[in-house]
Amino acid sequence: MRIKTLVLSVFLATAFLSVEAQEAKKVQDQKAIKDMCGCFEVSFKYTETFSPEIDYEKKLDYTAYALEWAELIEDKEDEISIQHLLVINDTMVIKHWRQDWLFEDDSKFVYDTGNTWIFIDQDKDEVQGKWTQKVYQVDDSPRYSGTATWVHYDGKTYWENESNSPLPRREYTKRDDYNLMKRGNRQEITDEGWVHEQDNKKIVKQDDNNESLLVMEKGYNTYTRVEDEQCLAAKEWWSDNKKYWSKVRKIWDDIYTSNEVLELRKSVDGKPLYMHLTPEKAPSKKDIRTTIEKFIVKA
Amino acid sequence: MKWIYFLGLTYFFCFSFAESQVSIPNVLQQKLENAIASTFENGGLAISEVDYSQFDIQKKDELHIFRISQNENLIGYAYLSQAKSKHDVYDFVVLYDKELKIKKSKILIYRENYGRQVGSQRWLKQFIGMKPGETFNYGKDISAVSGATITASSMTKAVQNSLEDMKVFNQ
Repeated sequence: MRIKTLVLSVFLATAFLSVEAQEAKKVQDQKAIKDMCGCFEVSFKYTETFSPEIDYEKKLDYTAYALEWAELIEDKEDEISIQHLLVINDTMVIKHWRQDWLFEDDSKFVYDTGNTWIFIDQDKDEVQGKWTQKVYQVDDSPRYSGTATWVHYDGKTYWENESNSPLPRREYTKRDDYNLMKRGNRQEITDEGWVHEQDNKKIVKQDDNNESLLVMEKGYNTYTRVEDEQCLAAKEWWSDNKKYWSKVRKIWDDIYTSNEVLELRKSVDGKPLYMHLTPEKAPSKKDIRTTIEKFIVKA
Repeated sequence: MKWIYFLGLTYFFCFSFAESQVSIPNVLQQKLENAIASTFENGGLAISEVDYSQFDIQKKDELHIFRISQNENLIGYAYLSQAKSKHDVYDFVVLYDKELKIKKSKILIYRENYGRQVGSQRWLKQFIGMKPGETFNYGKDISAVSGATITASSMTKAVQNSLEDMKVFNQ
């Protein structure tokens, strides 16, 4: 009887400690994600590295600098959302990308060339303890998503994943020699802010799904934390516009949850979606939905 | 908008090889077309193979010389040939303007793992602007490439030979 009690006590204590450890890990994960919020000086650097074809001529390096405000717009236990806003010349604000983080999420979307995304279910076992990052464009249409574990080890905190994505905006209208980017993302929290390192593969995907590598690319984007006051214009802009973009996100969410495939037009009336989707041009929920639906080729 | 420009170029691109004795493999032909298109950024290019047997150029199966013209006006030449790497051969092209100055040289197909760095434009750009009659030496006028000595010296010699052959078009 005593042995049975002892075994049961050890089992319960182990289970309790395991749950405690998982909870502590999740809190660490949440903190890491939220550490990407705030005001940052950002440097974007990209350089092409290796190509399997000897005659490939590497394109010029890309470098850019910006001031960016990352606003925490959703803060739930299993769902954290960060909206990035660019601040130009201290006063002008441009809505930039958005990253949603979902704990043990059973869905994600995969880019499949031709401005088409496929929405897929994920097994519960595959996502256990993991966070799915879903990245959206400036108009809240999809970009890429991927699932992986946040790692806290040897004094480092990072998350890394490879996912298929469309061409980056810096090359979207300039290049047609590849049609898919296998984006290797590594987001590491540092003492100064965070670093978004990328090991990208520019891929030519044929109609028969055959893929060939055009060239690899290294991306090194540093986010150096500065005083929040420097991003005051973005904070105020978001305060004025957050209701509108909340409506936009809700409509997109309806579209995402009710479709398995989403193909979007690159432009309507010669303009991309973000130029149509403004509070002035599409003020009401109905206008927003109508505007977005004009861009949907297949859903 | 460079891509619109390029679109126009490819739309008007007319690739008309004259009947040649030895056919060029498809992959090599595609790479040659791409090299010409990216070097001569003009629309409406026409390319025709030159029968060089009428000139004082040694006949080689792997050597093809092309005239590049636009609206029937000559704008340059392409000299497509092969040279030796350590254990195999590689295909290269030297592209000339109508004054026979080198606009660009490219290695198109390379068949070994060693010596690939010679394909970098950072090294190949040393030949740009050279004209028939000019001489240069590997390691002196043309910088050496660590780990690719055989291919780099072979390419230097191949470009020198190309300049020699192209002299005939000066006449």
